Amino acid sequence: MTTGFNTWILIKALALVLLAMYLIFAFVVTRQVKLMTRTLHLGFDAPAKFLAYFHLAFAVLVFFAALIIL
Amino acid sequence: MPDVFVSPNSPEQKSSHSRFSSFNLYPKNIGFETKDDNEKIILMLRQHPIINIKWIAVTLLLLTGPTILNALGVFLLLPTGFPLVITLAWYLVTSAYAIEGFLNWYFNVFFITTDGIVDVDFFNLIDKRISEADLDKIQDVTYTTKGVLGTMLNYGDVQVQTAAEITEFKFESVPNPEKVAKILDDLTDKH
Repeated sequence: MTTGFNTWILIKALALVLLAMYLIFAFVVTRQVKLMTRTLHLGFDAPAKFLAYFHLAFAVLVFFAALIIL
Repeated sequence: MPDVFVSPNSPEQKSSHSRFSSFNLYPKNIGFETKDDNEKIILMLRQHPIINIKWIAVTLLLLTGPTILNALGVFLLLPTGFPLVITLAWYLVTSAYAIEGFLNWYFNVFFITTDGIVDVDFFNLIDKRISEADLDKIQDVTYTTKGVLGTMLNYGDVQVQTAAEITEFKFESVPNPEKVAKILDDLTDKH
């Protein structure tokens, strides 16, 4: 029984590490959009930034959900 | 045969520009980092919208993932909380895939300006490449329309050979390749 408990703790830790790495990726996406909108002026800056920050906020939400729920 | 390209100073020039269009003639209120003040954009191109069908189809398939896992009873095997987190993480990755698919299409553009041609590419999330060639460096323009879809929807590749540092520019899967090649031909002839 103890072994099973430890396995799920390990899986939870692994999930949190993966989600933390994903947070970095989500942050890089916001930098990417910043680079894109700085390079090209296509009149789409606000929606593109919204998409990137929405994705980052979603990633933060999932990370904290995993931290609290698992 | 009538000229496709009309001098930018001509009153006849007509602007066609919408936010999601792939073929924008004389677009207004747009620009790029290395554009000179007196340089005018004649044509802005991006890949034909049909190119987006791949990431849209994959996104729609991915959206069904959690429902399928649930129907197969996979979630029943997991401890409380895991199904919810897996579902959220799944949708998170799906949203990233869709956002990347859209941004890659939207921001990878080609410009034909009064000075030359410009190809803007973004890749590997944080890398960008802006390739430019002056009009007087353009040596040869060819275009190809491939496949049933390309012929039906009138899109294809335009290849531009130049004497610039980058010897070949390829505008991939752009709409109206014949018209693009004609515009480039007219511009280089006038130069």
